[in-house]
Amino acid sequence: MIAKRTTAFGLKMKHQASLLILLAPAMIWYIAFNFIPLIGNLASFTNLKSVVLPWKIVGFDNFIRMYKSPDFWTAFWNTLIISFFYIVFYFPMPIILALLMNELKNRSFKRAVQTIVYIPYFFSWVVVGSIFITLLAPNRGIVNIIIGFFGGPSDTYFMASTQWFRPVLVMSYIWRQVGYGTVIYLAALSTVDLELYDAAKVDGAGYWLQLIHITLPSIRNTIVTMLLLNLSAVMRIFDQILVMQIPAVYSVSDVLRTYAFREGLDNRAIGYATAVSLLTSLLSCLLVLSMNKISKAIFDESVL
Amino acid sequence: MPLLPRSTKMRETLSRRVFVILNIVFLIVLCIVYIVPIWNVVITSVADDTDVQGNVYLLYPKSFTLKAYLRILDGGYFKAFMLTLVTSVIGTVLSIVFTVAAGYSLSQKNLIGRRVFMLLITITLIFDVGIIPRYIVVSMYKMTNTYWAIFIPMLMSTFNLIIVRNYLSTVPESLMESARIDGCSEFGILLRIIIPVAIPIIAAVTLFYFVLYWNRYTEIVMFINDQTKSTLQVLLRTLMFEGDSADSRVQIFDNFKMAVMVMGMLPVLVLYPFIQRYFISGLMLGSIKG
Amino acid sequence: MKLRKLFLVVLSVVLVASLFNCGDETSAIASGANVELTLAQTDSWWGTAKDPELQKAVAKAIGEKTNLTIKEMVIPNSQYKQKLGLLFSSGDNPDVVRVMQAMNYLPGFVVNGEIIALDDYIAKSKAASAVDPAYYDFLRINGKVHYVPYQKPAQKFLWVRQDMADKYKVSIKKEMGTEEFFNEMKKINAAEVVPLTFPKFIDNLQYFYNAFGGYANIYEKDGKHIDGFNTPEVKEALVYIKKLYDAKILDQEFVTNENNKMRENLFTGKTAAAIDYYNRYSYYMSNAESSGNASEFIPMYTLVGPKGTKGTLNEAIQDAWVISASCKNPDRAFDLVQALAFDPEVLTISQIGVKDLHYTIENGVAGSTEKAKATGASFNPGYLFAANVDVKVPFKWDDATEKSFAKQLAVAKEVEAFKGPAYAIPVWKSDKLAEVNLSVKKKREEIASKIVLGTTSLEAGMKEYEEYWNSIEGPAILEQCNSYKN
Repeated sequence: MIAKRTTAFGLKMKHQASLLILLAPAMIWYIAFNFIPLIGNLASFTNLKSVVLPWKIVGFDNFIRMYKSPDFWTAFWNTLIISFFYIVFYFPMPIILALLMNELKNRSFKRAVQTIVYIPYFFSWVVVGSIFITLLAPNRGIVNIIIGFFGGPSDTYFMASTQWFRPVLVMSYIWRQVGYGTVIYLAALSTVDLELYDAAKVDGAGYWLQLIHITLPSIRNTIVTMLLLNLSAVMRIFDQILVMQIPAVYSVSDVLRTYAFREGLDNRAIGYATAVSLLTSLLSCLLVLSMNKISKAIFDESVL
Repeated sequence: MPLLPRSTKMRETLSRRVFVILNIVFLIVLCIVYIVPIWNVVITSVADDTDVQGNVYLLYPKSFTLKAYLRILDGGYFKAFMLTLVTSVIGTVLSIVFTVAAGYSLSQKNLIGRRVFMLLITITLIFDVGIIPRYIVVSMYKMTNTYWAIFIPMLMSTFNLIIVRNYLSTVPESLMESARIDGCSEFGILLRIIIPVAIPIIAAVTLFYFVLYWNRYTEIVMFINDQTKSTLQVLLRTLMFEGDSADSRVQIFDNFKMAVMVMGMLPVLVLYPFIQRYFISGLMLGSIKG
Repeated sequence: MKLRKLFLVVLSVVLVASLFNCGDETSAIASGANVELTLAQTDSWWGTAKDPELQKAVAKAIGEKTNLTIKEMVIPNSQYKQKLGLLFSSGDNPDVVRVMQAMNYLPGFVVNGEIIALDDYIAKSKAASAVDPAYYDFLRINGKVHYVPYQKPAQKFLWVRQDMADKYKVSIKKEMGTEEFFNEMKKINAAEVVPLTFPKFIDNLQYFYNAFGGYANIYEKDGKHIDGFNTPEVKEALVYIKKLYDAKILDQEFVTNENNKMRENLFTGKTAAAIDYYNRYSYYMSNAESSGNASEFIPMYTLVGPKGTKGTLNEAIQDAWVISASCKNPDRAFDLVQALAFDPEVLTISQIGVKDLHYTIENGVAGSTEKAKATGASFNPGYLFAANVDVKVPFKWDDATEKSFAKQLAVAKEVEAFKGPAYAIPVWKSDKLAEVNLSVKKKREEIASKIVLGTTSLEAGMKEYEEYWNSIEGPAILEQCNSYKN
């Protein structure tokens, strides 16, 4: 700390005040639109159906009902399995893609790739769903035609198959989101100091050494942050599943969010639906905390 | 940012060359995987009705007509477009101002209560606000069915806030210290030092926010009852999927559906290259080193 | 410094605006007078065009007819149920509401006490009491009626393209035996056209269940409530549907078939037959013609099973008008409901639109305006004439419509003789059932589609269902229903 600042107490106060003023608008918004509605989680302990109808406190009844409900457990395990798939298969994709794009010397090609992979992000999930239904249709879909061309069975109904539906979810998620993810990594990669590479080259370090010793450490912070953000995002995946699932694959695709949505808005059991959401939040809290531990152990960097 | 700056005259090894070629091939294949469906969308949107009926998948254009586009333009497109554009721009500006200011504040290690603030923000990431409590507060603030409901309730994205904060916390402390010593206020530092350095991330987040506002659908449907205050996506989706309801009375052909999709994303797509310039290049590197 | 000012200005503007930008709250209570009522309906209803100004014009025109100020809630079709759930859950209940899929959703509103009983109003109203009492009895809950049916009960059956039937020498009759139907449909070359399809909603399987006397829901049979899904009848029907599927008679992709695509495939001749509503005839005729695949469409009302059981797919009361319990002026609200359901002029305004805005009349023949057409207005009498009153429009339809329409009316009359069973789901009789009704419906759909697609065998699927049924205390649900006393 520089002597000037520590001596001038007033300056420090002014510094703090300015920082708090900068933070204030966002915090006010968070209180008004995030923390006040979070009070609604108390509905978990009631049999609330509507705020204008009489209700009473039922203690842990909603949680007991959850424990007994086979649908809840289906959704619970699906949430864990699907989240796991997303983290394992989707999460590294934007990093790899950003690194590969970073290797391109041709600026316009780089930009073209970047733009093309970003376009699907503008498609709503309903549209992505219908695109995939067409691509994966039995017999007439392109994927099945290609499989048939190489001598495989061309009548796989991917969208209705209990084995294939989860891979389809992950694939379509990657297809739509990966361009969006790479933007952040490209921004992070642009901050890596080029002189470091020059120095490494003088030392005779090859590509992999540079990758491991310079590139990845430089964007480690971003990777860890994105891991946290992705973790919380995968627990919220909802639109995609809602529009892509069909009855034949309910048992492998129904997740806690879709379950809570159905119970809350279709079945009007708000108390119960809130309890399910609360549990989902606790689950994702648990995931984030354990990921924090792992991240600390491996990267020596905390997620939080 | 090429790994091998032109100044260094190093001999490329064979494996390096193979890697470069494989990389290019891979990215081209990837682009094809992306382009085929997008290409199909575009050529379907300009095809005649008769060419898109039934389960066809067009890979090359069979006909060319702008009929579908003209129909969309006739159907109240401009009004909804202007409303969406104005609310998206205002919303994005507000969001960016709030996010960068808060992100900067939270990135300062000596901020009082920083850990508490960060904890609160992480809570919003984990504890999801359901649509019903959100609707209730929006209704409580008398915002339902007003223009405010289009952007105020979803102003901040914790996702973006954290990205900005983390990016800003990598800015070397020495930069700010020297400015402080020169008597620069926090706002001055933010404006003159931080923002220029953070252009790539601000560009990226601007894009994220704008796309978020632009594509917003469910919240608009839930918070707005009056169609005249509805955004473009609501109008477009209504037009696109009205054939799918059991009691629908009109037939929507694929060419119209796809034209709707193109019209929905065209404005953002036009904007995209302008923003892309800022986050794809390493131009800002110089300023970091000061 | 500049930035600080900007922040403060922005912030104060936002906060002040949000606090003082009060919505127009209304509390006018007067009888007979012009009061404001909120009306929730899907976006395809308001004159069918999606242009906001045209929709407003429809609301205004209905308001003028009924001397009311209609505050419209135009809700996208796909989000309708959820938005209604949201409005009722958060206390912003609209005054007059259309309930879609009334047999599934209306009892919930009644149990919660969110809508009022309309018996007295109906008794006083000439138009409302002229409706077939069976339409009221269908969803009579605790002896009370809480709705006014919007349209005649919706029935679905098979529409077959005459040209395809001729091409493959398939003989289609109004009712056909299940084996006869299978053998006839087998003649169609499935590599050329899909012989039979229906939209992805698994409820459509009920068309086949009817032939075997099954009803895949909870209903009262011989004075006892039973779960109709796990019965020999439905199992037999599923075996039959699977046979159709395996023989490639049934569309291989029926589980991902949207209504829109299914209809398109039928009128363009990509499909030979499809299950759809009884009032679709003129729709198919005109679209087939304009797409260059003109053909006659013939109805096949029902399959007849080995035991002689039969019937169309009867969706009974699909749409119901209800009045919210929080409505401050139920008398006037009922006036509105009456107009919406029975006033020919109001029906015309809501289904066809406002003259000069939605349509123009030339030489007595009406046609859509460009603006209305561009936002998806349809000029189709099919739905107008599904109403419970005779609607005489002050204009003529174009020639093709006039012609096909005579046939459509004949079909509508004829189908009454084949009407299949329909039962309201007795959620008000069992709180356990109310809790799991939607989940168990979903489970049935899952099992049925898995069996037909062959991802699971009939035995394994039914076993899975039985385990599920027991785990949600199915027998106790039936017990509750049986012991229910008013």
